[in-house]
Amino acid sequence: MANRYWVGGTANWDGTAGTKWALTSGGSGGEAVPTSADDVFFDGNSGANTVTISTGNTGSKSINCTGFTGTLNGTAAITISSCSMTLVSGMTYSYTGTITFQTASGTLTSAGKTFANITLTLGGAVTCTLGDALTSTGSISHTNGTFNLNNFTLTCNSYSSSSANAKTLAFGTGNITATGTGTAVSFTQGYPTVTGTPIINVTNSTATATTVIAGVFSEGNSISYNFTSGTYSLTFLATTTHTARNVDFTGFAGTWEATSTATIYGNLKLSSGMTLTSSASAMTLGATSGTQNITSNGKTIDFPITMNGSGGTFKPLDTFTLASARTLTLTAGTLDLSAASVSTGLFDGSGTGTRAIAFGSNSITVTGNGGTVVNVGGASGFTYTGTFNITSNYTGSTGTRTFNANLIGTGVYPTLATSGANINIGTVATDIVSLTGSWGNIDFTNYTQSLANATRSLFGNITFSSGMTISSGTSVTTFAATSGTQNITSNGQTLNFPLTFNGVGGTFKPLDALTVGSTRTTTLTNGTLDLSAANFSTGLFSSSNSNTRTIAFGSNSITVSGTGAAWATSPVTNFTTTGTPVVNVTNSTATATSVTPGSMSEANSISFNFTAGTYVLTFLLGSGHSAKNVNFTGFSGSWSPSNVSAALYGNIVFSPTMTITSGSTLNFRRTSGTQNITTNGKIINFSISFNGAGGIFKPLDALTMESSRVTTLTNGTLDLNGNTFTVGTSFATGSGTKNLTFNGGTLVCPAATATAFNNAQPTNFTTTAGTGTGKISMTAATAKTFVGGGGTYNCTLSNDGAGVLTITGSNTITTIANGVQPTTFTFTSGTTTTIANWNVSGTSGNLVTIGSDTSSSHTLSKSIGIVSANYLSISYSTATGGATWYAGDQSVDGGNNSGWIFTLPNYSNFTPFFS
Amino acid sequence: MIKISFSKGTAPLEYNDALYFTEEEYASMSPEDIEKIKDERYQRWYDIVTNPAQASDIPPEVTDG
Repeated sequence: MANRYWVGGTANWDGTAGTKWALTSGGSGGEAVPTSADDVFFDGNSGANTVTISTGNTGSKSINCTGFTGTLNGTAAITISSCSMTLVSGMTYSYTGTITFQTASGTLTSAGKTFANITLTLGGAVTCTLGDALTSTGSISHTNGTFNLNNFTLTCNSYSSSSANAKTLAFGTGNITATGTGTAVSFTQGYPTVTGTPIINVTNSTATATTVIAGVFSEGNSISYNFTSGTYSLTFLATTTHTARNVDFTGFAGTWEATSTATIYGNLKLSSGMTLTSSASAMTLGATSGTQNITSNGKTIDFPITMNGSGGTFKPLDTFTLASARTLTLTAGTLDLSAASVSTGLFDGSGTGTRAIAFGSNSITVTGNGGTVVNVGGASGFTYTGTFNITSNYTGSTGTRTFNANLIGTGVYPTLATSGANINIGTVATDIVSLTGSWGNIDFTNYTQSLANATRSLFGNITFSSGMTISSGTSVTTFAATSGTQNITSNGQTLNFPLTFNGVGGTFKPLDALTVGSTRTTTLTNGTLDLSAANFSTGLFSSSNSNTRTIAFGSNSITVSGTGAAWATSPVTNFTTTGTPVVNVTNSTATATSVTPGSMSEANSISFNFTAGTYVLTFLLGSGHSAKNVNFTGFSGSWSPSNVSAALYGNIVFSPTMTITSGSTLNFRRTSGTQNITTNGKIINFSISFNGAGGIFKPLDALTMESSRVTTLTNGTLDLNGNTFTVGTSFATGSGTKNLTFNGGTLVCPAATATAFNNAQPTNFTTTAGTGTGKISMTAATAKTFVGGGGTYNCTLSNDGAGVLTITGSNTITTIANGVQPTTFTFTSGTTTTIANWNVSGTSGNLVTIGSDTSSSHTLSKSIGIVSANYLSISYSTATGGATWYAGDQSVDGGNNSGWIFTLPNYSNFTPFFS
Repeated sequence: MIKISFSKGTAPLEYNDALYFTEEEYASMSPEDIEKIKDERYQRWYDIVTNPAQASDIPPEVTDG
């Protein structure tokens, strides 16, 4: 290693030593040609000569021109093994060859001289530092090591960093200015670590196409680009995943060909004179901190933009416009509209990233159609400030504009209307609008176009317009508010899609008659359906769960018009009703239909009107299932209760045109007031149990049970109301407080059984005559039994069939009579039957037999007056009590009688009561 | 609603019943129509009463709900 001083005058620096080189300044020439180990000096003693770097030179370690006043020129390449080169202002530098710096650190001082091509093939730990601003008319190729701009400007035709080696590009406060056309900047691999404030200016002012290959840098390493002039076609950020920091086109009047999914981490400033080509690939704004400004200068971006920087803010400084087919997507970060509004074809704010829109007083306008034009859906992560204002201003007639809102987590759901809401759909377009997701108030007032069927949730009120068209479908609209009251105004529209009410604590209230399509189901899952203002009609109604739910009927009703499971509210756990619950079942078809009210309490039970149809009805099927009033007027199908515990708390009216099929039991359970029963002539082919303590059960016409059915009176009053009540195979009492009131009615017990009338539980059993004469008519033509149980019967007990009537128990009966003869009365031996009237007589040849069930006597007791009978055959009978018992002169004394006088009464023995 | 109470039959099988019609139904019916309904009602009842269950008929057990 040595010094080499130029003493060769004007000559070539080549491989010939001659006398060009000395060991000292101005020393004797003749030293060897310098090599990569030697430092080369051109100084004052080198003279004002011209040194031409020529082929054959073997390079040097460094070049130092301090004090040199001559000229360095030439075109041959030279390699300097360090990065040390010092030029001075007093010299002339016209060398245009390529200099390659290598292996050792150093400083490159150009003193304002212009270089040609420079290659920085530095060692891994080698730093090449600018000593001042460096200008190159050629390319700067940085292939290894650290290139330190040292706060100076590097001006070059082009800059390339294209090797795979690790390297660092230290900007400090300096920058790179690429002036050339073609590939002005190229980062293709081995992307350098960038420090300082990295800025590359691309200053080509021509019309020649230019490419800037920005490379893939992380947000922290990304480089800012300024395109300052030119009318050229620029290829920039046209490669997938390439990145840039700030991008500023101020002064650029060319065309930006951005055709790939690249990312900008900083500001984006377009120029008014530039042109942007269209692309389907989305450009991402990806900053994760700070505020990144977007300046459009009136330009429309015709490619998608995605804002995706969690923690970053993206702020248009003037109106930010995307073409009508393009989507602005907010994936993460904040869209700050405090300074300007956005216009985009479609807006997509869906997803789960942390994202926000700061509306301030500005808005988003969506101009597109035929897709999801507004999507602010997402499971979480979305917030907004200011006044949420998105307006769709499409004015055409094609496609469907879908608006998807799903701001779950914000607690606020956007409103929608033609204007004045969070999301506005306008009144001009004649396309179809579809709403999906979760919404606040929706108001279609003044809207006259179509609404598509879609799945959506509503947390606010909804008002339909009478002039709009509502499409049918199977997608469910769910009313989901969990507090307050959601009003529904349908303005005469039929909602031909399913509805679900599902808001714990919420109330859902139609303000006018609400009609859901006849094939659609309305489901009450949670909350209160408030019908205080209007009726509600639906195809099917279902509330089969155990959640807390209420139907507040007020004075209105629900009409179900569908077939199949028309009504289902079982189980009824936590299900209540208020007001006067009435459900009209209006199915007019022959298709089987079920109504399943569940086991409602008396207070909560629902009245059902079956108004039409010829179908098979399943109703009161389940254990304990119940209803209040049931009215079959108009129903021509078939029904019967098919569970022994089916309960009725109100009136029932059967239709004369219906069929009562063979069933189980209907329990009348009302505990206050009167339950009316109107059979309209139908034979009741199921058993009946009256079991409502305090209730009154009153047939309004004749009630006839099918002959194998049982009538049971356990609690309450059965008021025959003057009608004929035919009990089936048995009338029985149960264990309770019960009363049989006649009011002129007849209880017909037609069965030839030992329990045809069976007062099996006589405790607390009473009878009331009421108005008129009541009667218990035992009509069987063969043996039958009246099990009196020791009761008091304020009526006539009449044996109206030819068969033996056995009367058990010591009863008190107003009148005992016979409607036919011959016949037989058999009393239990040892019993006493107390009567007020004995109207039992036979006719000639048709004796009525009076006897005991054993060969022991029974007793008949009447307290006063005369018994006048005839044509009896009496045995084992004791007549007593104070009255005079005339069996008649045609009666037969069968023996073992007492008190009977077998003659006609001799009225002359009696003193008239009135004389 | 119009109610027509009626009795049919002879002792001891006398039948007391009532018919209910809306005003429109009633207006559309002749006296003969109404009598026919009465006769049908009575006859159905009469058939039940005169063909009662016998002792061998086992009535279904009634369980109060």
